[in-house]
Amino acid sequence: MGEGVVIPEALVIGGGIAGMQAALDIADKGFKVHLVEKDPSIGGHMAQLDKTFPTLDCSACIITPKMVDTANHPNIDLLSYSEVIHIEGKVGDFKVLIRKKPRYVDVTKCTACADCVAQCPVTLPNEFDMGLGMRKAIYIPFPQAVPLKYTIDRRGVPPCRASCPLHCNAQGYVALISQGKLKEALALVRKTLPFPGILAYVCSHPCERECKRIEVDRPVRICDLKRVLVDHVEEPEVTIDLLEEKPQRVAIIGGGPAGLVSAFDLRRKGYRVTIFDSHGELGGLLTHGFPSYRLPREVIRRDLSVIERMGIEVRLNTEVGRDISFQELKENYNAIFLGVGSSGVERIGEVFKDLKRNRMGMIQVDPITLETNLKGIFAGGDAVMGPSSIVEAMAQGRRAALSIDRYLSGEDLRSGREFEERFSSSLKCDLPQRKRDEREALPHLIKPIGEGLGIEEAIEEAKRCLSCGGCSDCGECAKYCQPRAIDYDMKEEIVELHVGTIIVATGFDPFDPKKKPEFGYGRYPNVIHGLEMERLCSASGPTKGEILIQGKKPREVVFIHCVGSRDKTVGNEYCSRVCCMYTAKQAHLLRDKIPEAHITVLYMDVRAFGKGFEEFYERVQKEHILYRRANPSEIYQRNGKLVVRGEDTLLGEPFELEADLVVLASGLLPRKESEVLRKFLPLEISSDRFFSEGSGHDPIRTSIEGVFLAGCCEGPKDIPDTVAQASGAASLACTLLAKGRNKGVNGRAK
Amino acid sequence: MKIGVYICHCGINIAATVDVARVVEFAEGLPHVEIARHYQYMCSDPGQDLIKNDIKTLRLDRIVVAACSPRMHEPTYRNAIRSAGLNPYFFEMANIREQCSWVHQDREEATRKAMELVASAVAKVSLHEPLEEKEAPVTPSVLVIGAGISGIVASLDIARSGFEVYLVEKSPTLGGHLTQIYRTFPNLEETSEILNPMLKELAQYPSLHLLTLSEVAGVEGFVGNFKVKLRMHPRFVDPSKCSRCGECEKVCPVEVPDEWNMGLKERRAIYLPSPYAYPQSYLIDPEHCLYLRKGECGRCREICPEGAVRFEEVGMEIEIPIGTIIVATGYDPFDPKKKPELGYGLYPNVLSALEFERLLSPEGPTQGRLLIDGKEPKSLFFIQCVGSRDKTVGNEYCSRVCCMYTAKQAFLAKELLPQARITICYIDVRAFGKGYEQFYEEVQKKGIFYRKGIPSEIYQKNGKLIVRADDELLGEPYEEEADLVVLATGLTQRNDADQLRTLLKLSQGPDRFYLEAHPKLRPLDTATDGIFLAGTCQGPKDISDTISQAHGAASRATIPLFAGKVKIEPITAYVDELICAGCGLCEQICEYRALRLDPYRKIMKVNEALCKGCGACNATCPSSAISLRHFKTEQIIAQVRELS
Repeated sequence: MGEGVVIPEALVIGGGIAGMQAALDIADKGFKVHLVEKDPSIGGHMAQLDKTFPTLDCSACIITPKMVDTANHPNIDLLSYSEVIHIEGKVGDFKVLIRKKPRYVDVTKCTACADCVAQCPVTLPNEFDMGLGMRKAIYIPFPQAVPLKYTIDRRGVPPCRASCPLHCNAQGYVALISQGKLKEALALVRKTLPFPGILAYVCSHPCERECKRIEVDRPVRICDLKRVLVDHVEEPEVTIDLLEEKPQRVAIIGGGPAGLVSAFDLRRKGYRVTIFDSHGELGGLLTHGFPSYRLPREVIRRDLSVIERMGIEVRLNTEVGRDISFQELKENYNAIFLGVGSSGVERIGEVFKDLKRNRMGMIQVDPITLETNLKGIFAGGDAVMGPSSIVEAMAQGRRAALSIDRYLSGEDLRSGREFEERFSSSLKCDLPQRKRDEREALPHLIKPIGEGLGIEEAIEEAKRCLSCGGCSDCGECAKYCQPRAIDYDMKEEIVELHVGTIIVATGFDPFDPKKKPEFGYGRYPNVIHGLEMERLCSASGPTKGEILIQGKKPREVVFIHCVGSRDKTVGNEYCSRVCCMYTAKQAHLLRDKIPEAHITVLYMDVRAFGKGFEEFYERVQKEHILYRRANPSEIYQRNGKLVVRGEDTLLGEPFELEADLVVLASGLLPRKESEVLRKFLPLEISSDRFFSEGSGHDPIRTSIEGVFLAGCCEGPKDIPDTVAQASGAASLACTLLAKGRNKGVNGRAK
Repeated sequence: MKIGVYICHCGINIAATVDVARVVEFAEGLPHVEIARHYQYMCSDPGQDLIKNDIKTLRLDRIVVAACSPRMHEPTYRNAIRSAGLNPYFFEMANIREQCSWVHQDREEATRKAMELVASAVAKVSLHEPLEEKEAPVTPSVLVIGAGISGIVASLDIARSGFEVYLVEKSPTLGGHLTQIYRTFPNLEETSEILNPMLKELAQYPSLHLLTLSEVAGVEGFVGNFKVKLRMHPRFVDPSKCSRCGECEKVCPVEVPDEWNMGLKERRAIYLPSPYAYPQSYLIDPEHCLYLRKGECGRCREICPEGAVRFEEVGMEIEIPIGTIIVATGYDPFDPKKKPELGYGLYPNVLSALEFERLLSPEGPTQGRLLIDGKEPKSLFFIQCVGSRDKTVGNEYCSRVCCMYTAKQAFLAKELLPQARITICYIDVRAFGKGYEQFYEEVQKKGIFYRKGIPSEIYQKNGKLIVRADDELLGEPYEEEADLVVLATGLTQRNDADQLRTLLKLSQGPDRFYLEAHPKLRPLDTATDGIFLAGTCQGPKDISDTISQAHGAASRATIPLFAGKVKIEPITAYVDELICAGCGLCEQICEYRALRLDPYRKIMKVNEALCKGCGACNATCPSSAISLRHFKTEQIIAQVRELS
C-alpha cells in the first residue's frame, strides 16, 4: 500500500451504546464497519439500565431499536462474542486479528426457540442481572439480545472431571441428577466408565477432594450420586456398539481392573481380544481384594457381564507360562497387555525373560505409552504402579488400549496425549455468589458401605454442585435442538481484517464495593450496588421490577453516594459523573414503587450538572426523599437490621440510620481488559487509568493517529454525552475514510 | 381484508396496568381482525418476527400494534412490515402506554381504555391506503451558524470530508467566548494553543467559506435542499487594503467599551476587534461612528494611507443552496445585575467571571496583572452559582462549568498573589469531568478556602466590600471583608436566540436552550430533519464536551451528504382540484411554504418535499378540498367514532 492510502473500512471495538452509535453513523455514510463485541449480545451496560435520568425514558425501549438497526445495517459487520487479539500497522491500514469465540451453537441454524433451555440442567448466575437472577448454561443474556442466538457457556474442564483418572464427566451426571434425569445421567457415566457399578462402590473419588464446594462447606458427594444411578436406574441389558471387526488379536494377561478396561476399549475398537486369568473368575483384586459387603458380587457380575456379550474371549484358570507359553502368545497375538497386578509381576517376569523391571520391582514402562521394553507388549495397573487404586488402574488399562490401537494401526504412539493424566483445572468458581454454609469435615476416603442415597436425597445433593465448568457437556440440549444447531466441536476462529481507522468504545466496569469492606457489601445481602438496583427496578429483571429484598419490600432505604469515586483510599480520586443522578433516579423509582418507604440519600456534593438534572434533583427532593450531606463510615447489622453510621456534615453530628436496604452508588472503573488492548494498541492512559485523550481538549483523538475514543473508556459519562462523543468519533473516522473513498482505492464500501 | 392486532406488554410497563389478555380477546372480535396476539416486547426481534410470520402465513394485509408511542417504534414496525412484503403504511399504532398504562392506575378502566384505543386503530387502519416513499437529492454543503469553538470544530470535520462549508459568524471575530478565556481547566492550557492550530487549518480548505459579520436572514426548503439567505454586513474598511497600521484608530474621536475585554477597556469606533478577528483588518462600528451616524468626522478616511476606509460600503444578501445546517450559536453570560444583592454594577470591585478572565489574560486590559484600582487585592471572594441553580432569576439549571472555572481562576489568582486570602463560596462543588476532582483537590491544597453557602448580600462599609453569608457547615453566619469579589456567572441562552429559533423552527426547553430531538439518543439532532446542534446553544458545557459534540454534529450533518439522497415522507397534503376554489387560505396558514396557488388555474399546488404533513391546511380549508394522506377525514372520523 502506498503512502497516504486509506482502506475505507472502520473497526469499532465495543458494542455498547457508544460503539453502536459510532458504527451506525459511519455505516450510514456508506462505509463498511466491523463492530466487535466480546459478549454474546450488543447493548452494553445501557441495556441493563431500567430508566434513564432525568427524563425517565425506558432504557431498553430506546436502546433495542438501535441494537436492531445495528445488526440489520447492510454496512455493519457485527462480530459478537469476539475479541480483538492483535492490531498492527498505522492510520490508513491497520491489520487486525479478531478471535471469534465458539458459541457452540451454529448461529445460522439457531432459531432462539428456547427448547434447549428447558433441557439444560446447569443453572448459573445471570451476569446481565448482576447475579441476582439465574440463567442456564445455554442462554441468551436477555430477551431483546442481538443477535438473538443462544450461546453455551463452556468454561473448561471442571476440577472434578480433570482430577478423575478416567476423566468421568462428574459435573455432567451430577447436573442431570439434579434435574431428576437419572437414566440420562447413567448413560452419560457410561460414556467414560465401562464399569460404573464397580466404581460407584469402590472408587477412591479424587474428584471429591478437588470439588470447589469444599471452599463453601463440603464437597458434593459425587461418588454416592453415581451409586444412586447404579442402584436405582433400571436399565435394559447394556449393549456396546463395536467398530468394524479388525483382524488383529490382542492378549490381555490378567482380568483385573486394568485388564478389563483395556479389553473393553480394544474390543470396542474391533480388535479380537482374549483375557487370560489364572483365577476361576474375572475381576482380579475386585473379587478377591474387597469383601462382598464393600463391593457386592452382584454389582461386579452385572458390570462384567458386558465382557462376554461384546465377544471378548475369556480364558479363566489359565496361567501364562503354565497353561500357555510365551511363544504361543507371541505367535497368536499381535499385541499383549500385562495387567497382572503387583503380586503377579514376579511370576510374569519368569515367563517374559527380557522384561525390564524398575527399582521397585514393578514392570518398567514408558510413562506416556505404557509400552514395555519389549515391542508390542504393554503393561499397566498395579503391575506398573505398585499397589494403587481401582480407578487409577482402570485409567492405565485405557491408556494402554489407546497405545495398542495406535501400535496396531501403525500410528504415532505419543502425539496429543497431554490430557490423559489427571490435571488440575484452572477454573475458578465465583463462590461468594452463593450462600455460605457452615464448614463441614472433609470426606473420609474409604467409608463403610451404607444404604446409599435415596433419589430425592440425591437430587437435593446434586443441586449443591457449583457448576464450575459452566456447561456440563451433558449433551441434553443437542438432543432436543430440532434445527441441530448445537455443535460441541465448534472451534474458535481467527479473522483477519484490514481497516483504515479504529474507534475504541470499550466502556467501563462497575466498581466492586467489596473494596470498601466497611459497607458490608457481599456480607449483607441487603447491601447492593447501583447496577444491581437497576436490575431490581427493571421490569425484565429478576424480580420483574418489584423491589424485593429477601422476598420483602424494604421500608427504610439508604442510598450512599461516591462509593469507589472521589476516594483515594481505593485509588480512585476522580468523580464518576453519573452516580449522583442515577441515585436520584433510583430514589425516584423506589418512591414510585414503595410510596411509604423512608428514603435517605447520603451525599458529598450533588453533582446535577447536565440538561434537566438540577430540575430532576429538585423534583426528587420534593418527593420526600431526604438528602443528607454526610460521611457514612460503616454499615453493620443490629437485631437483623442494617445500621448505617455516619456523620451529618451540615449538622456536624454523628448519626445512625436503620435500613432494610442500602444501595451503594458504585462508581465507574476502566475496564480490566483495557490493559490487554494496550499491549497491541498502545493508547496512553491518564491518572484515572481511563484512556487518555489527545491534546487540545479533544476527548476523541488519541496519541495514535487514526484511533479514536468514544464513551466511558475515555472517562465516566452519561448516555447523551456518550452518544455525542460516539458520533464525534465517527466524524473523525470518516474524515479519514473519505480520503480513501475520494482516492478510489478500494472503491466505496458497499 | 385481514387485520392482525398485536398487544405489547412492554415488560410490565403496560401489562401491570392493562389486562393484555383481555384486550387480545376483545380485539379478536373486531371487524376484519384475523388474529390478535400479545407478547412481552413486541419491539424485540422475536416480537417483530411474530408479525412478519403472520403476514406471510395468514396473508394479513393490515397491522395494528398496541404498544408505546408511535414516536418510539412506528419506524421499527413499518420496517418489519415492509420486510414482510406489505406496504408499510398499512399499519397503525395504538398508544396504550403513554396514553393509557402510564397515566392510569385502575386496571379495569385502563384495560377498557386500551380496548377502545385498539378498536379505534383497527377502524382507522382498515381505511388506510398504500403510500410510496420518495427520494430527493442532497446539496453537498453545510451551513454552520456560529464560529465559536464548536462551529470551527464542526466546520473542519466537514471540510476534511471534502464537502462545502459555510461558517457564518455574526461578530467580526472567530473563536467566540473561548478567545476571551485565558487558560482552561483543569490542565491550565492556554486557549490559544487549542484555537490557533484550528484557525491555521481553517485557511487550508478552499471548500470552507468563512463569513464573519454575517447572519442568517432566511431559510427555506428541507433536508438536503435548503435555500439559505445570508445577510453580510458592511465593514466599511477594505480588508484587502488595510495594513493594520492603526493610524485610523488614533484619530477616531469616539470611545466605546471594548466588547472583547468585557468593557474593562475602551476601543474606538474604527477598531481591530481582537487578535482573532477575521479577516485581520480594522472595521467600523456603524452604531458609534460619527460619520456613519451623522455624516460628521471622517478623519479615519483622511488619514488612512492605504485608502481602505469605504463609508459607502453597503451590506448584501446572498442565497446559497445548503444540504444541512449546524446551529452553534453559543451562549450569553448571565447578567449579574439581575442579582442586585451582590452589588455588581454598583461596586467596581465586584466582577463577573468573564471580566476576571480578561484581567488574567496577558492580552487583557491589565496585561495579565491582577490590579483593582491599581492595587493588588488582599482578600478575594469567588461566589459560585450566580444566575445558576437559582429560580429567583428563572434559571433552575446548573451551568456546568462555573465550579471548575472558579477553581481555575482562584488557582491562577493564588499564583499571582500568593499572600492573598482567597475564599470560594459554593453550594455543591461539581467537579465531575476528567481530572476535575484532582484539580479541585489541588486548589484546596493551595490554601484556597471553600466555604459552603452562597452569600446573601454584598455591601460596602468604610470603603470596603463586606460579604455576608451563612457558613452551612458551621451553621453560622459570617461577614468578611473583600477587596475583590468575582461572581461565577452562569451560562444563558443568547439574547437573540429567538430570532434564529423562528427562522429554523427549532424548539427550546424550559431552560430556553435549543432542544435536541431526543435527550438520550439524539442529543445532536433537532426535531427538524437536517438541522443539528453543537455546543452551548443546546445547554451549558465545557470545552471538551463542546468539542466532542461539535465533532458529533459534523458526523450527523454529513450523513445525508455522504448518502447523496434523502427520503421524503409520503404523508403529505393533496388537493382535490374539482373542489378547490383557490381561496388561498391554506397558503397563508402553511408554516412550511409548501403551498402555492397556480395563478392561472386558481388551484392550490402542494410541494410534497416541503410539506411536513402537519394538517393545518386540512383544518383551514372551508370546502374540504385539501386533505392529508394517511389522515384523511374519513380515516379520522372512523378512528374517533370508536372512542365514544
